Amino acid sequence: MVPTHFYLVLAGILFTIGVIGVLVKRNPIVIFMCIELMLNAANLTFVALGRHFGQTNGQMYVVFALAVAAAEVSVGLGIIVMMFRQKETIDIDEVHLLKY
Amino acid sequence: MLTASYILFWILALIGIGSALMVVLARNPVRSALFLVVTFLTVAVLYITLSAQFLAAVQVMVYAGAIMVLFLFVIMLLNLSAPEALKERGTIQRPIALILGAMFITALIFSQALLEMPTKAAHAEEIANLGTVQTIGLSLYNPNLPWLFPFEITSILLLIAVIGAIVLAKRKLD
Amino acid sequence: MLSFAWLIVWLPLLGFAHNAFAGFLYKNPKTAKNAVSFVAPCVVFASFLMALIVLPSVMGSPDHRAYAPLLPFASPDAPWIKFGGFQVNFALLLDPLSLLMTLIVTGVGGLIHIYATSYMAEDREFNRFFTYFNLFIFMMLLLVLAENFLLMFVGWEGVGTCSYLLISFWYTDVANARAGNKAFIVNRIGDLGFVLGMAAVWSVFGTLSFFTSHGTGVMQLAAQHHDVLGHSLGDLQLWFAPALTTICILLFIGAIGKSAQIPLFVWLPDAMAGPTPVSALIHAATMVTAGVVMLTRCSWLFVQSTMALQIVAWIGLATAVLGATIGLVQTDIKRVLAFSTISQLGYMFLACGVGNFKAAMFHVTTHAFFKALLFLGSGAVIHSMHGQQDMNKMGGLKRMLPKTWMLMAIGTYAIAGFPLMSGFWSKDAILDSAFGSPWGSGPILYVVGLGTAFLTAFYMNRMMWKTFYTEQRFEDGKLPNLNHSNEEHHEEIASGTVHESPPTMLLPLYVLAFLSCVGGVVLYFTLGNFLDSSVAPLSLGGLEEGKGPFGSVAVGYIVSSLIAIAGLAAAAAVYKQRAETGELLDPALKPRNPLYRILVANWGFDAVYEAIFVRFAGRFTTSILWRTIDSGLIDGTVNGLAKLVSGLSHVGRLVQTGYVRNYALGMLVGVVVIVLGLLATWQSLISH
Repeated sequence: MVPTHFYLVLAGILFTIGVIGVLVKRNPIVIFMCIELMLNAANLTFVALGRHFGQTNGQMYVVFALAVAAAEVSVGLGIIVMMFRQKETIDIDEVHLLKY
Repeated sequence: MLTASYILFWILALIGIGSALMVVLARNPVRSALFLVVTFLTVAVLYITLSAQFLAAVQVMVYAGAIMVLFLFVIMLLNLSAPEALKERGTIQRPIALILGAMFITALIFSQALLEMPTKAAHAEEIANLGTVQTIGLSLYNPNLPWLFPFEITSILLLIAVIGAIVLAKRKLD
Repeated sequence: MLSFAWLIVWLPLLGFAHNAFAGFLYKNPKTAKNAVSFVAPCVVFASFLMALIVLPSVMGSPDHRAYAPLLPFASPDAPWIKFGGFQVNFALLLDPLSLLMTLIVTGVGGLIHIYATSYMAEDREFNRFFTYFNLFIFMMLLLVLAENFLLMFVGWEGVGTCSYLLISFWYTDVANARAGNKAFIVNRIGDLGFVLGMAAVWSVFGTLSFFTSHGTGVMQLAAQHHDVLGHSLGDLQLWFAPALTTICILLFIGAIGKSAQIPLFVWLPDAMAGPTPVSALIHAATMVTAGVVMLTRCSWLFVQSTMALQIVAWIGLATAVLGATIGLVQTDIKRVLAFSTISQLGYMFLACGVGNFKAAMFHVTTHAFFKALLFLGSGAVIHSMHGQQDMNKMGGLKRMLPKTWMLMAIGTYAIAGFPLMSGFWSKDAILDSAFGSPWGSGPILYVVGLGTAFLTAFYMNRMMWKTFYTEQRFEDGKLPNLNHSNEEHHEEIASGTVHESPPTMLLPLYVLAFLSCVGGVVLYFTLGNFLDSSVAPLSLGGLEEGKGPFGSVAVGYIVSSLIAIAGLAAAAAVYKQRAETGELLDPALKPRNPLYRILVANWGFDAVYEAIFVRFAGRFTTSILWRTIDSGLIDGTVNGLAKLVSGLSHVGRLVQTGYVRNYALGMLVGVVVIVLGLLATWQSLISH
């Protein structure tokens, strides 16, 4: 059986890739997708540790995280659609009014 | 270390990391979305190796089936297939993000090492049934466990999300 | 009756309040002015009557000393300040000394009030004048009637303030304001000595009351050599005597400031910028004698310190000489009188210094009479001359102003010491006791004092000659109006003629003239016994009064009479020859005569003060204290801190770029820091 920490390292790498994606990409949809990637990495961690300790708790967390992620995506995409209907370009750097 | 499970794991890991990288590196957002689907499927298989069978199915259905479809709809709606023409100005954003990402990963990896998690090899039969529909169902609907109430509340959450999405995306009545 | 003694002090205060609000109380300004001119002298005379009423009770009290509360219907032991072991009460001390001064202040003051109602009648700010005038009377009464040092100090400062307010009464002229400033500031320098003296008294004796009914007043304790708690005051020679000397010198510094002695006399000549009634009341009769009163009140302390007595006497003598010599060269009629006041005050301190406080108080009384008479008379002259104060532009006024002339002549003879006039008796008492000085140097004091008496007679008669007897040096009918800007015009001023003063102005002068003639004799035989209980005996300090000059009292009196007459005659002779110009020295030669120049420059005191305190200190404070330290250092630090914060925030706000990704980067930075921190401390965390 594969040791648990392999899964944890994999999840960590996926998470970091997601973080870098959020910071580097300028398309808001892609940024959102990277956020989903991060969520998945966290879910993977939950499941791996749940199996490590032999409990179902890990998977229960994931069930709910999954539901919440679905809700979040719908609302978030709604926001993005509404926000970028005003502007013609799709560039997250265009939304910068709240500055000094 | 060359047992079947290890080899499977390495393959899945490579595919997962590769597709995740492509999500970030792809120019075309549609391509990013599709690579993300690949990543989700990989994670679903990993769930199966972790005895979370139910979750694997749900992952495919919800993430790859619903969420990514939603993403693609929005991408099509906003006509974003054109690649980003503007090149980023000489900011420090990209280098710093990369550096910090490297630091983060290093920290995570070494934290695993510090934690020194013992590789617990529990009995296969006990573990194998950990994530079956029956087991999940018993945990979810068990009044003695704390999962029943959040389960019910999640329905309201989804309702709120639906209402929110409709309100946000609605055009004003003229 | 004693329980109503507070009325003495409160009535002028009520007058002050009435005058201050007369504009509110009366609709018609004319009515207000009439009300003020009635109320102001009335309250002063009411205090005078009250003092007379209280007098029998006081003389019937044990030791001729009575205590009354300052607050109406309270107890004399009502505390004013009380904390720790320190207590002072709101109490009045009624003894012969304070009642004598009360009668002088209210009596002479009341006469001056009546005079002022006429003198200031055309002034636009009539009500304000009498507001200050009544306030001054209140403060002065507080000073003389106080039962303790602190209450006396309140009055001390109060009269200084009123002096400032009244000197700069015509404040639209900056010179008057400056004169007021000078008076107040120089006074304050002396007050520092007073305060330190007060503190020293308290630290030695433990109380600030002069006398108490339990025998625990400072003067009573000084006589018995123990402090208020009963502890003996230590070895007499080693500790007590130097302590007493220090106290006395500090208190005397206060008196130097208030009573215009060397070196703090410079304010008094400039104080003549105020209206003439002010000069008469404050700078002749009452405020400037506060120092003498204070010294007499503290005579129990002074007689036990020979060194302090000597300092007082020598400074007094020097001041007397200074005043007399400078008075020889003055041309402004009021400045002559100012310097004569300085000189006479010197005599009073000389008397105190040789231990004869009764003689000092005698001279205070007679000086109040004739100096007020002289000042008010000079005011009448100035009024008649439409504001002209320069004697070089007067002359020949004897036949134009006969009544004024007669009154001024009486005053001049009184101050010169003409036989049987009041000044003669008091000045002689001083000179006699000076010769018999208990600590030596008697003959020197006597001779110099006698010489100064000669000069006094000389310059006073010089003043009379220049003003009244010499040839007329102005054109009648064409007198320019030199009155002050506050005044409204009346026809006689417009006519430009010399006219005699109205009866309201002359009536008080008649009373004062009468007192100047008769008062001396009467007081000579009564004041000594009267003041017995208010003055310490010389024997307390182990001193003994020496014999008078020439062995016999009568001979001494004859000698000083001759000196006085000689001075008067000398002035008459000198100025009769120069009847046309009225000047001893040729005006062209004046600037080159060194003696003349020193005298005109007040012996150089003003120049030295100007150089040190005004110019040098001014530059020091401006360039170093103000610009460098205050503006540069302190303001710089405070402003610099503000600028630092501002600068930091200018840099700090650049974090708010507005770009979402930058914020996300910030979050990542935070997360990395936390994770690294956890990693670093993990071992210690899990061990708990």
